Amino acid sequence: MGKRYKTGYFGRFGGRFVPEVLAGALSALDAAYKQAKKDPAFKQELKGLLKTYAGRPTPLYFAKRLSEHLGGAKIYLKREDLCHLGAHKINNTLGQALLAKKMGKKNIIAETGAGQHGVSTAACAALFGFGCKVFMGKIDVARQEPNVFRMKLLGSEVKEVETGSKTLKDACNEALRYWVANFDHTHYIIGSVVGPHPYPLMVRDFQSVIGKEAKKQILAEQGRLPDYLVACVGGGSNAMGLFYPFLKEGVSMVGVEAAGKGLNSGKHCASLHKGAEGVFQGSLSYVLQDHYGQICETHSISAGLDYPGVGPEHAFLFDAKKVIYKTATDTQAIEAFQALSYYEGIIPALESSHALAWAMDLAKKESKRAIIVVNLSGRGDKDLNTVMEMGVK
Amino acid sequence: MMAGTIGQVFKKLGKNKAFIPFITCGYPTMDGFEKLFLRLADHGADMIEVGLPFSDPLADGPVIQKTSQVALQKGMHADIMFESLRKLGKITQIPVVVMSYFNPIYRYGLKRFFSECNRSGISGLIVPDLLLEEYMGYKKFFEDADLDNIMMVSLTTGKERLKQIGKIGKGFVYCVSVKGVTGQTAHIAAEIKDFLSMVKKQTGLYTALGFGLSTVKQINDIKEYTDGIIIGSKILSLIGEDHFDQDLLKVEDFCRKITGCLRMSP
Ligand SMILES: Cc1ncc(COP(=O)(O)O)c(C=O)c1O
Repeated sequence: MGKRYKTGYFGRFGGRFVPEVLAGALSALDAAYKQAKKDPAFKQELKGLLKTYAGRPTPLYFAKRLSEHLGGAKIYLKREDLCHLGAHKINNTLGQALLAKKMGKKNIIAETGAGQHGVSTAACAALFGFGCKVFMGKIDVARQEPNVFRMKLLGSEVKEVETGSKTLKDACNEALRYWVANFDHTHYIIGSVVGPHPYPLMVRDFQSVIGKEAKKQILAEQGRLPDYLVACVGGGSNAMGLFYPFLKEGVSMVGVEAAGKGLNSGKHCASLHKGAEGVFQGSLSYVLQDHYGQICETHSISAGLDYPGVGPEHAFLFDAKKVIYKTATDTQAIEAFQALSYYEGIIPALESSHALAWAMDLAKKESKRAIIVVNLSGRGDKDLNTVMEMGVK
Repeated sequence: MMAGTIGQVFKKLGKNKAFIPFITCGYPTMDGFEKLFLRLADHGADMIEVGLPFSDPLADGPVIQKTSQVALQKGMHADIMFESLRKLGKITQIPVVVMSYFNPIYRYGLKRFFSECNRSGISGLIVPDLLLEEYMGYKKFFEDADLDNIMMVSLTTGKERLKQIGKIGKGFVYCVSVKGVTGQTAHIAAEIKDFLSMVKKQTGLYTALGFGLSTVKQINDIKEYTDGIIIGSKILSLIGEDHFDQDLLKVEDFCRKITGCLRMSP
């Protein structure tokens, strides 16, 4: 295989597997992004928006009571939950919305699972004056109702998707289908480090602000780099954002996938643990699929992790063993959700609770000198209904 | 030898245009699929495009999404398709091209998939999500296989790209008539005529137009610019799960209308 054909790959993962009609649109996006990356005015404008609109930098917070309760390592939280709209998603949507403006697009679309990416996209549409449609599976519309209302309030249309499993993957299919017919005037803001090239790379770059800040902050606070970074992995954007600036630093990095009702229950979405190599929604990565390559239905208590694929760069880091991947079940996530609320007065998103669950286990086993940075990718207000329905008091 | 069969079909047709129906393997049932296949072969189809269903068909609209889902629910998969096509190949000689998204092929193993295609008498393969650039990474497998590699082009495909596609495509070029997914449209853009002429010129291959075609009027309008017509959603939408025998008659009727306008009088 010639090198010429390997653009858009992380090792052997990635690529651009889409219908021919999108080839031009993706090349144009790639070119526009490459140019923007070099453009000081673009960087300046994005930086300004991240500061004044998104509220960056987000704090790095030492969870003292939680750490003391666990009796081991120090847990620091990168407070992405304090971003405008309550999750890290805004880092990426602002970047892509700005790019859409540069490309002269009039409309933006997005897929959403938990609704966080949809809400962020809807807010950017309001901010820039774009028309906006957000595709969301029917099941997610039901379990993330407050976010549906938010999107509407922000002036976006929410397209309820009734095909397939009626969750995130199907919303993504519908958004892609819509884009195929409308790319002339519409930019598709993919919400994670998934999809065809250049999305995995571009979204990772926009999210890297998380890791860059965290690095500075921990150096200022502790005078050294942390021992561990822990983040949850759905598509993998908050994890890539935290990890990427640390990749060459020799810090242990742990991505936590959702084990749902258990890794052997068939009801989970641990694509790296239980998936096989495959091509899904535009790139080659690990995918939960059956013997004949049909994509499996997945389960997680957290809608934002409920996805059968994972970003190709994670597949690469997994195979290269540069990042360790672990899992947390629904139950473990809920326990972490409660613990953080109880000990720190911070209600985490159920997605982030997966990272926290694993980090809490780790903290117990580690010495008091060890430092763990957990990406608190979002706040949990959107999940209150789900948790109440689980019978948590 | 299966490669080259498709070219011969077009060659024999001369000024007439090829009628290429698309149907989903396993829809509405396995038995129903085979009956529909044979009925189409008997009613003027020049070759048949058989879709191997995929759970997440990105390039397809509601009709083919549904037929794919029904077929999958009934347990359809590649091995059943191969077996069925082998059986049908003993009854009729009509050339078959298979349409499959890349993942079912990748998962099956490219080499094994292609050799099963050969064993099943399949003449050509269409992979709607395998772009030219990605195809290059798997070129060897396609070249080693004894079947025609049918590439798709769309209104957005430029001249240079068409030339490259002309070099690797075989059999015919699948020209997508809309910026969109299958089965949607009422009107075909006027620019399609120039586009079809350009595809022919740049690739030097036979062309067939598909996506969104459903009426005699549309076809009369563009037929002189193309070598063949692919119709999928319209035919599948005539077939329900309940009144299958009656539905087959509707399909026959539709085929008569279409072939009527594709046979050009000299
Ligand atoms: C708060 C939060 N964290 C994490 C995720 C998972 O996405 P990713 O793995 O791309 O960070 C989501 C997705 O909706 C989310 O809302």
